Amino acid sequence: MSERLRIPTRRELPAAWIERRRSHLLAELAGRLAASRRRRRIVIALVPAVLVLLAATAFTTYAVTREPTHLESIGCYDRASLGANTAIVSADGRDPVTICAAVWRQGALGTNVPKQLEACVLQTGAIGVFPRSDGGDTCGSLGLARLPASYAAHAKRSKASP
Amino acid sequence: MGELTGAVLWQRAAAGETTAFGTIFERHASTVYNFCFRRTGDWAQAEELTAIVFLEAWRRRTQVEPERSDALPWLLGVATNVIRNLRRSQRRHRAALERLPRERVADFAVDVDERLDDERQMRAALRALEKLPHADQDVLALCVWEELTYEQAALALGVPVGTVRSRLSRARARLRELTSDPGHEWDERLVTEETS
Repeated sequence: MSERLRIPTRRELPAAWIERRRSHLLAELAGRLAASRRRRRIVIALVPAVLVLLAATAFTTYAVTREPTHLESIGCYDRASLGANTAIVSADGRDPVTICAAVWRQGALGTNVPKQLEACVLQTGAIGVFPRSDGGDTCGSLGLARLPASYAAHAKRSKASP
Repeated sequence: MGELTGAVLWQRAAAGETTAFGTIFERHASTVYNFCFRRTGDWAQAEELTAIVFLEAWRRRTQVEPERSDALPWLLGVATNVIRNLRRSQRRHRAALERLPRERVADFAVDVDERLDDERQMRAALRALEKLPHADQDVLALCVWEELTYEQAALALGVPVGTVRSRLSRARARLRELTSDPGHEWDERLVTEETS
C-alpha cells in the first residue's frame, strides 16, 4: 500500500497562550538580568581586592626573595638598624655572616659581639649583615629581604669569573 | 507609536530591553513553534523547544548583527541548533523549563484529533527524510518548508549561500530518487517549494 507523505499545514498558536508565555518569558529574563547584574557587582567589587592582593603578594615576594646585585662588598652593621655604624669589607665568596663575624671578632665594630648575625639584601641591592634582634627575622623588621640561599653559588661563580 | 522594525527591536533586545524581546516573541513564536514541530513531529515537544529557542536566543542576543532587519532566519538557526543538541539545550535551561506555566497549547486547542493526525503524517515524512544527511535536511526544512531565501538560510546556518544552493540541490535530487520508491507517494510541498 502506498503511504502519502505530506507536511501538515501550519497552526497558529492561541493568542492567550502567547500572552501567558510572553509574560513568563519577560519575568524569566528579568530574573536573569538581575542575577547578571549581581554577578557583575561582585566582580567589580572583587577586581580591586584581587589587584591589591596581587600587588601585596608581588611586593612581598619581591621583598622576601630579592637577589643581591652588588656582590663586590658587604656592609657589616653594629646594630639592627639601617642607620647603624657600618664596616664595609670586600666579599670573597664566603658566607657574608662568616665574613662579618670575623670583623666582629677583630673588634672593628665594638666589643659586645652579637651571638647571631643575619644577612639581608639592602634596597640598593648590596648585602648588609646585622646583629639578629631578639624576635628573630631582623631583615623582615627592617623591611628587607633575607639573603637567598642561592647567593653562595652565585658569589662563587662571580668570584671565579675575571 | 508605530510598529518597530525588526532591526530596532533586536538592537533594543541586545541592549537588555526585555519588552523588545517580548515583542520579538509575539511576532515569531508561531513560526518557531511550527518549525520545531516539523523537525520533530511532536507538538508537545515543539512547545518546549519554542521556549528553549527564545531562552537561547536571549542568551546569544548580542551575537546578532544589528543591521539584520529580520530576526526570523536567525531564530530558526538557533532552533536548528537547539534541536540538534536537544539534551544539552534542555540541561542548560532546565530550571527555566521547570518554571514554565502549566497551560499547554493542547489546553487551548479544539482540534486535538487533527493534531494527532499531524503528528502521524509528520513522523512519516521525517522517517523518509532521515535518508538525507543532517545538513541537507536543515537546508530543505528552511528553504522549502519555511520558505526562507538562500541568503536567509545561509544566515540561519552560518554557511555561505553557495553551500545552501548545493545542499538543497543535492537534497532535492536525492528525494526525487526516493520518489521512485513504490512504497511512498510524495506531496509536492515536501520538496518543490519555490525559493527566490
